[in-house]
Amino acid sequence: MSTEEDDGIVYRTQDEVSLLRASLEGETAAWGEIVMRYKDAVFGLCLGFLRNRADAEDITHDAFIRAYVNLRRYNLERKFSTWVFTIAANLCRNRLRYRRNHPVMEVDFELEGSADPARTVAREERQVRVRTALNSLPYAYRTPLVLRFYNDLSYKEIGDILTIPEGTVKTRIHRGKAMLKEMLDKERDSS
Amino acid sequence: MTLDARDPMDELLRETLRQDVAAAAVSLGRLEERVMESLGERLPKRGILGNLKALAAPTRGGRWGQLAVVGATAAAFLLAGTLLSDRLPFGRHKEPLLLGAVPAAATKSVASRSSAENGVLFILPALNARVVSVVGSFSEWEPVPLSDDDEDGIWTTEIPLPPGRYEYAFIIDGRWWGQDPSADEYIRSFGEYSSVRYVGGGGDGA
Amino acid sequence: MRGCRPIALVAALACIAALGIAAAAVTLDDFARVLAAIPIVNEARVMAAFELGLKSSCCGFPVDETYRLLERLAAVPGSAADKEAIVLAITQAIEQGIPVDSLLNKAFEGLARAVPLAPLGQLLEQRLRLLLESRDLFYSRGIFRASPDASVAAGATALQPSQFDGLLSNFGDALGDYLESGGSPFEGQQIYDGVHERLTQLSGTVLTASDVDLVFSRIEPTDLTQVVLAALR
Repeated sequence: MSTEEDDGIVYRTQDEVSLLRASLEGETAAWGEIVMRYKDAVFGLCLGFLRNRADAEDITHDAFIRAYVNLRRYNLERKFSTWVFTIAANLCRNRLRYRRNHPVMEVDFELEGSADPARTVAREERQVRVRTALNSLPYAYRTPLVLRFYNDLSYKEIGDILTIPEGTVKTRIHRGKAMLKEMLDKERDSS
Repeated sequence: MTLDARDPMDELLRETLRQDVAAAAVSLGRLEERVMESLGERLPKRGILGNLKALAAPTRGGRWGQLAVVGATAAAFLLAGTLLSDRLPFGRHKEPLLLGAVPAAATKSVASRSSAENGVLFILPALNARVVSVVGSFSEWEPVPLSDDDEDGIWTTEIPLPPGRYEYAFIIDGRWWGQDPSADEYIRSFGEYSSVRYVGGGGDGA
Repeated sequence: MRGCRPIALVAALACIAALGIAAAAVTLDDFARVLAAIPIVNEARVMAAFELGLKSSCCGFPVDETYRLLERLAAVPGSAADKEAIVLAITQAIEQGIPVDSLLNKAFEGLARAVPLAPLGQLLEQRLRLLLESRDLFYSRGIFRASPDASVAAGATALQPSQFDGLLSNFGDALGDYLESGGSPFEGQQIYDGVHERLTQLSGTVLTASDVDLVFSRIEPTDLTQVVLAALR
């Protein structure tokens, strides 16, 4: 029976489809590699959708479990990332539905890792304002923005994931940005 | 169609989101390990496929070993395709190129389960379980057994369901488990979780 | 089930003929036997309701499922009084012409989960009240169940019986789920969203899209608060 290290060397040179096929065979190490590659992207999606770090972690974990379980039905003609994002988005939606009756404080986490405090203070402050404004947008406007500006997805992909028409995606992004600008201008004017 | 390039808001959003996620992701840690742990680090019995691969795994010698792995992997997934092809959803106009299938898969169906047009797949990873069943509004909450013939820890059954809404839960070795990862929704019922699925109406099945 | 009465005679004869051809069909005698096995005190009232239900099997009354629930009740441990409370909830639904499907489902689930029978009975009673109050809301908004012997006022809409029953069943059940998840009756918008989500998911398959739209065009979040509060009284 091969050692994990041997498998590790082989896996890193394989492409994604081979990893997925290996996962399907039951090679959980291959799936671990897939998770490593996509966890930040999925987590970013969940964080944007749920605005709560603990929930985002939970859902990210669950999304990879669900994706593994449903791997047999993954359609190769579809982009793997889109498929995984769709699973995550659906789980987020479910969690939000449940949360409606069990309100959770949306935790505001601290920005970390600023190298030079002096130079980055202004940037941080601006980001805090943007983040606050973004988090106060309704779900329907916040989520397409996250998928566009964090996950870098096309309008079509966003539409597929959120199951809304492409045109609606464009409108929501346009409108969402307008609302953000309005909020930021208002805040700036009042300070 | 307006281009949203050069809108300073775009860059600001990108930057903010990236920073936020980077900051929060510190606590993600080694998520892949937690996922693997949930799925089971070592599967109890790999069956034919796993053993084939294990046999062909490279020793410290290089190229021949790697070629053997490639060959074994190819053979393995061909096998996987034929064995798994009967588990695929049926009845679509265009046969999707599914990960678990080889396009020219054998027509012989091993232990053919329900081949009804509307077979809804119930699927649950439950390693080391002895008995797994699903109960729900489609069965008057009487147990419908799932099976795991290849003993890879993934239990499945396919139930033909007309369009509608169905509540259900799994029972794993006598314990109720109401949160199906593949559910559309969770509800609370009698103080416990139940899962909900909507059949028909264009879900993507994921 | 009142609406079925005029054609009930013809339908009943047809049904009885059909039942005679079908294998192992449930009869009134079967119901009498299983009620005695539970045992039920209010036998006459319950039998009258089931007789009505049997006559309405062509109008969607789930005869076999009801019978199987009674069989399960007879078989499980528990006090006869608690079991009778469960049977009475179903009985009242039949008497009132309320679709029993969601009540049966909850009862089956409760028995499968080995929930104590007294709370199960109370839950079913509450679900029945939700259905009754929901139906009153539909009526007050001019949404009725079509029947041959009733004419409907201008501005009101009569839906096909199976459609009306399906709408009402899912509407009331969604309210019940909301309460059970711990939701507050005063969050009318949240209740509305939950019901809207459920009916929309079923729209186009089990429910017709125009009927779903009709309901939401005439009902508002505050209405749902009233319905829930009335059912909790």
